[in-house]
Amino acid sequence: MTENSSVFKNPLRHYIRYQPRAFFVGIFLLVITNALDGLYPLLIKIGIDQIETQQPLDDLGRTSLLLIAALTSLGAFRYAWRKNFGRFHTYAMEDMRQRIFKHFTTLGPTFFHKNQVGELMSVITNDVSSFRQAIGPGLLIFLDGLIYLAIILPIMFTINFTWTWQTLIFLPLVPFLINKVMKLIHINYKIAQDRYSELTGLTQETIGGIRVVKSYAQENHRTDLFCQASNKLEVANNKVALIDSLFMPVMEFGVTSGSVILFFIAANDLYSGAVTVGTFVAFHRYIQKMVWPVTALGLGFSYYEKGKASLSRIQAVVDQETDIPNSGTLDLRAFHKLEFKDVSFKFPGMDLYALRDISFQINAGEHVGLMGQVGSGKSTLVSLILRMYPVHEGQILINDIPIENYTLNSLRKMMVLVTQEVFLFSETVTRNIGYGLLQDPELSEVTRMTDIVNIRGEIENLPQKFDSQLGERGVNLSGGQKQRLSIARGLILTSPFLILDDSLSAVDTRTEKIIEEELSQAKKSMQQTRLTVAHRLSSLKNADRIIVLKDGTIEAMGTVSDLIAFSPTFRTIVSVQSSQEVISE
Amino acid sequence: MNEDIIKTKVNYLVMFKRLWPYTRKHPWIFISVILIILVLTGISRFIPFVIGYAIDKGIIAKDISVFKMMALVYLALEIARTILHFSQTYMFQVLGNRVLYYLREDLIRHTQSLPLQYFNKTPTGRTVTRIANDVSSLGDLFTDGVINIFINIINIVAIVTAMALISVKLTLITLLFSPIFIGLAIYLSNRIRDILREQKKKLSNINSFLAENLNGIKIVQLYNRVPKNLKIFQTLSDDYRASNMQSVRAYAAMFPIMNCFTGVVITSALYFGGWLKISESLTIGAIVAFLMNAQDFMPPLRDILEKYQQFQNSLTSAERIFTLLDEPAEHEITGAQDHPSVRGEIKICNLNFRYEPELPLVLHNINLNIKAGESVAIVGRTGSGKSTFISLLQRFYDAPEKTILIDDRPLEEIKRRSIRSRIGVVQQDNFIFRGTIAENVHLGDPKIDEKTVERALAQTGYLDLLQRSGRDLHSVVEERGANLSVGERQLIAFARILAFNPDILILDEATANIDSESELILQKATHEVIKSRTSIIIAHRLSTIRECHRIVVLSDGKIVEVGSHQALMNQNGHYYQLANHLA
Repeated sequence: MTENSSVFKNPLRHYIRYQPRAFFVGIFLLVITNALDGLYPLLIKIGIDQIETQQPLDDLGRTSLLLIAALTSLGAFRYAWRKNFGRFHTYAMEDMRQRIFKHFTTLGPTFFHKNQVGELMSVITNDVSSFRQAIGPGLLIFLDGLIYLAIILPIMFTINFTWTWQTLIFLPLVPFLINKVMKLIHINYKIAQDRYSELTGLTQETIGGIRVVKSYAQENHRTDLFCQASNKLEVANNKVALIDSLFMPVMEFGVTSGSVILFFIAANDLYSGAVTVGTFVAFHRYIQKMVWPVTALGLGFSYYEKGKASLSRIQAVVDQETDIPNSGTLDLRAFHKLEFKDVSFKFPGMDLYALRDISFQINAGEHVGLMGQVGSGKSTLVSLILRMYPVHEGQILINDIPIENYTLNSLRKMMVLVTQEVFLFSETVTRNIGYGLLQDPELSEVTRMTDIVNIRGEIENLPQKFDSQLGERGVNLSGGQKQRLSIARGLILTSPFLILDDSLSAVDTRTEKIIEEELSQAKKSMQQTRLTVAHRLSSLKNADRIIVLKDGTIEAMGTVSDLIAFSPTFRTIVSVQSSQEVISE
Repeated sequence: MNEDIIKTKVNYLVMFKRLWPYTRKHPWIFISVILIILVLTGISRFIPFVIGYAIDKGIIAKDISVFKMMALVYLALEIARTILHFSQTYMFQVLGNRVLYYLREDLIRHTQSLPLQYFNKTPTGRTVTRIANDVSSLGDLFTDGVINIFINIINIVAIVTAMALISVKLTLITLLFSPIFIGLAIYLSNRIRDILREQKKKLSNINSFLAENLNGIKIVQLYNRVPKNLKIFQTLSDDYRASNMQSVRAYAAMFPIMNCFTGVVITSALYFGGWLKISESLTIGAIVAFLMNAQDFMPPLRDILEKYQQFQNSLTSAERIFTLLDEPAEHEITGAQDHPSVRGEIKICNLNFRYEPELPLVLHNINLNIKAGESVAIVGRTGSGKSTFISLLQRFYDAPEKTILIDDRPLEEIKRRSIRSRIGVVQQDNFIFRGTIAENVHLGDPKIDEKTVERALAQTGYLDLLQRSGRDLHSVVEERGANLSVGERQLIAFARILAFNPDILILDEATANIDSESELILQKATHEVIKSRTSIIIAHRLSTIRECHRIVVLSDGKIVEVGSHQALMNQNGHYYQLANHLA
């Protein structure tokens, strides 16, 4: 991470070093371009004076050839510097994006609870791109404007010193004005964006909840709500439009006013013949040309400010280091024993203990159940085994060695968790099932898994069968189907230690039975150890032992008959469930 | 299987025709904008003329009063130009925003009237994109695209006219090569469009990969996928970078073309201007004015080419929007009537139903009479036709005529909205809106006051639970009820029923397992909602089934058994088998 922190502390320096040629060649070519751009109106001046003083047409021809050569090479240089500079900021952007993503993958749930995915997405897309805008177009426009001024101003002063300062007197105000207006636009644009998000959210709900809307005949009410939000968006957009429409005309006037002033102050000089018409026309042209550099300075600065704000958001994210550093060196190769030794745990930033004084041991080949009311700490306990959070009080040992000493990779290869909430990826069915494997699994293996979780028939009914794409752009599976696939994804790994975190709750009894048989087989053949979190007693029929949690502590631990004797929580569960048989769907 | 099909082909003409009714609601804004554009273009072209005139009649003719006069005219013109420029841009945008407002209103109204099949076939995200994003990008077209192309075309016409007024010969010579350059620029701008399209696709690949990986980060980490996914991401990002570089180069290539063109135009104006001055007595002021016009020729042309791309994008958006608007709404027979209150008697006679003519029957010859106030449990395996049956009752699909009668009136003769407001439904997974608990119960219906909401919540037992956990009926509910448990969402749905007090209840009981405490409350709530009204329950729990007067067993779309729990158990048939499949 030390490398990252130096990169993000001074990214401009880092990225200039990353693409030095593109950067410096780009700037060099920019200077030449601007010099040419600054000089060619002089050729027009010479030409007009040649016409006015009725010089031979050959002289005018020579000037014209020079003019066309200047403008053509101007185009060529402009192409070259843009290409080089483009390379500089495009490469920087993608490098930064990759670095941030890599950083994200090292972070644990603590980080992802604190930062919402939407915000992180906005950092890695919007902020990275606005950083690029700053070191790319922003920096470039700014330099462009600066160099341009450095070339044109001396020319103008040489042509006529008095004219120059008198016509350009208001000019320095323009960049500041632009920067102010850009800020105003930005603020109002953000408000409009918020209104837009509100409208999108409302639409999302209306469409998502269309069954309820229709069932209760609430269409008119939803339309009213929508129109209110839509109107707010319109008002916000109109405000943006107001500032936006003021911007160009006012700015142009700021510069063009110089041309008008020129008319008022030039009359005498022109009259006395002190200045030629060619000079007058050229000067007029130069004033018009000032529009760009002063706009550029203002725009460049506002890009810079936006980029700076984005960079500080990026830094804020990148500076959050992982609380579960992968600093272990041991490879966990076989599982013999898991032990919790007086483990107490608080979620980062919380005062209350989620778990307190937890001590137990699970030996290889055992099947242990974990029960308890909602919020009693079951999922928390499971996440500690996989080192998703750091443990500061007590110790978790595997084979008598603290889990922090193992590499995360080997730990998580040994212990596989099938999570409570289901998350599948926009990949094919096969690839989703084999998500944890290094290579795509054999079809025979995939079909066997789908048999176990009783979904094979449903998959084979899909148009592309096992190659069907899942997700927003693909097939929509039902909640139950997704859950069964996510179980298959865990089972295919045949890990020595399997953790099922309430993952069987939505499968029907028959499927549960088949899965149970498969797992009993694994227990026998490969001594698979299992920890099952469950609500239903029936899911724990085969457990050797059950741990009952209550408010973060172990209330009781033992066989069913032990628990009936010692655990009030367990007794309640038993009595409620026996009155509530469920007919399979 | 659910491709995004564009059924409404849209070209510019079609688009304007369909947007015209909205525009027509504000004729004065529209007319003023057009007028302003015309005046503005006139002024802009008048300025070079004034400058040229000042040079010829002022400087060359040595008449200082003319020059000073022209200076004042110049000032006035610049001020007028600034004001008109502002009003034109602003008014056009305001008009555009208004049109979008009307369009969105039509869209949301129409979308809500679409049949349920549409929503089953179309992912929510796609419809939302139509109403939000696509309307927005159509807005860009309105405020940025149309206005600019229109203004620029007028500008170019005005510039060429102004040039021709000075000298037709010089104009022809100067613009001799323009077709070549314009052709090159169009070629390049088409290439840019293709590159940008590609680039957009690649960026959206990056974004969806990111969103998925961040949302599923737990699985990515726990299943040791980090190295592999880092590599995938690098490929995606490098790919995007390559496409980005392509567009940087293509955009940069626009400059040599434009600069060469400017070079040719200005140089030929200068050289041939000088040449013509000798042969045709063109004044120096005229040459200057001509040069100024020639220099103004480039920017609008470039602008058109750039905006033209945007136009194309918006056209696709317009196509998608109008496709949605052309989607047929739920069909209502003429003469369908409101049916204010219902006794709650349901008769089903010889009901056969299939979703599409070529598909097999989902329900076979269903005959069933449900008395007012009776509760009926429907049991059967997945796919036995239970859900279809309730969709028919709610008129989400239309049953064959006169097969379903409510209070002896054929269902299809009662308006959808009317029948739906008399039938309450609790689904397995009930949609919860963002807002408060109370809002989720009354759904914004003004007929339901807070007392009713509170009573409803109390009857379900949820109010008690809320109070114990330190909440009340105004506690905030997150999007989709993310901060509520499955059981709580179910209880809110029950409270909705009690608040709306429909005459007929349809309850699709949840199969998911709920923790023991919520389970007990739910049992009581179920008892509350089914008493004293006609209830049809797709039941999964024995405790619920026992509450019902009658049980109907469905199998493969047919009614196979009807009777009470005890009677059916004694029959030792389908029901007996199902009931023995207990957990």
